[in-house]
Amino acid sequence: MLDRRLPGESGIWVLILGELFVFSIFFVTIAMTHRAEPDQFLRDQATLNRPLALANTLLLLTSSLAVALAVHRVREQRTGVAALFAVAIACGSGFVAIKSFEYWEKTVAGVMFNSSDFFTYYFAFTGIHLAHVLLGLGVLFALTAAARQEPTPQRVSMIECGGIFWHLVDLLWIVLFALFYVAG
Amino acid sequence: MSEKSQIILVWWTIIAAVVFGMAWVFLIRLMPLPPATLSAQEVARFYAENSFSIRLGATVCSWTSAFLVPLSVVTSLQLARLEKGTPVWSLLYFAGGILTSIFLVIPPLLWGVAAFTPTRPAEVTLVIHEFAMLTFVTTTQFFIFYMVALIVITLRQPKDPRDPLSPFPRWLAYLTIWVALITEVGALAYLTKQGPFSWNGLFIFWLPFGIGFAWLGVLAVLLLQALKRQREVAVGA
Amino acid sequence: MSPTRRLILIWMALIALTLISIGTRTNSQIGPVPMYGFVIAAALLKVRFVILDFMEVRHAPWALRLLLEAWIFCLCAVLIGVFS
Repeated sequence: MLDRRLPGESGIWVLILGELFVFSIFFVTIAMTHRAEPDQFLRDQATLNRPLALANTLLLLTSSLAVALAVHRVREQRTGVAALFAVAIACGSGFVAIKSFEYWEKTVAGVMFNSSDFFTYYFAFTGIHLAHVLLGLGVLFALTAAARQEPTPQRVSMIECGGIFWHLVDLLWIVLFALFYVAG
Repeated sequence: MSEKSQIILVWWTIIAAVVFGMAWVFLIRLMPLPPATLSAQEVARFYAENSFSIRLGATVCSWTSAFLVPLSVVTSLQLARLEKGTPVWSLLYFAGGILTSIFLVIPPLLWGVAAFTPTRPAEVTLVIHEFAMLTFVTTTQFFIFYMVALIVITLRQPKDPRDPLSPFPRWLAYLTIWVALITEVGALAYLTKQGPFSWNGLFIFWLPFGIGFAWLGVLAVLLLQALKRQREVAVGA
Repeated sequence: MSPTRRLILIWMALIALTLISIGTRTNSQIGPVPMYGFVIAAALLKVRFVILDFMEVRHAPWALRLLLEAWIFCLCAVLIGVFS
């Protein structure tokens, strides 16, 4: 029988469940818009930069891997933690850069928040997600610093919590990517 | 030895908040907020038809809308009790908490102004109305200060052993992160007049206000419970 | 299998699912609704991997695991249901 252990601490799951709840409302809103105005939705979707978004998805998946590996190493007190967090931060920063470029691309093309329901939700939901990525980057920096210090049980638990938050950021993008860019 | 005073302040906030809520719902009659797409004529007619009731509501709000002030004082003191050394974060909480209350004071004031002279041009009333609505939903600037301060102090507490007198369980920090993220979305109300991102929309009004007020309720309850425990210890000592 | 190896294999699966999802767009033999259903299901399968293996919920207390699995299932059902 495997020992069941709560990852992180109970509080982080309050945050995770809360975020999943709110983002679920976002996801259903996108699906309902797609259903209600399919032609407009597909027309707007076609103007999105899918290759860049794919790159973003790969970046976040890789950063999540790096974080998961790093957290394992913190627990086992092995080396390489800082390098792994650095990889995650680099990937996350890449995401921010690419997303910013995408927004800029749209803006100079005259496409904005109010251009259509699709774009209201696109800018709003990916923007809110981007805010989470930025917050997550801050968390990753904090985790890098924490990992250099003595691994007390409380500190290890907080590092796990930070990692869990980053995985949330990754997971939310997976669904946003599917709904906005792929499902056609 | 100030537990009794702190308890009084928390109750002051609770009572004032309830009265404020009732004034908003029953006298000012802008719950829920009206759509941002109404014309100047429609808005002016609303303020003209409800003029006395709204002005009475503004009067009541003049006495109660700053309800966050006492709660902010108590929360800052409770945070300072836990913060070692110079109370940097507790002071940040204090500053953020009391400044936030300004933006709950302004909308009823403006609603009162809007209702004050029904004979003015409709466009002028529309401006006052828009000013009030956008102030109500977009002014999240000070939230970040006090929410982050609460999160930092709460997470710094040692898990083992837990301080039984602390009003701030660790899960409150994570809940607060969630509430902060939800309420900051309110600022987007400038960008559209319809749909869930307009000032009466799901993501601007219902979620932030519903969850925000519930969070204040949770905080008030936790403070009262902790103050009761602190008072018992003080009396027993 | 070492945990490291396992995580890397899962990452490869996530990337594969991503690419397969995009690949279905070019397949004109599948109707729009089944294609949409596939994309959503693939996305939520990826989400499940992230939750169970990256967030380590696979070995978490049953209450949490069941809650999250239920959420994944419900979201998948609702997203597909809304569209059909």
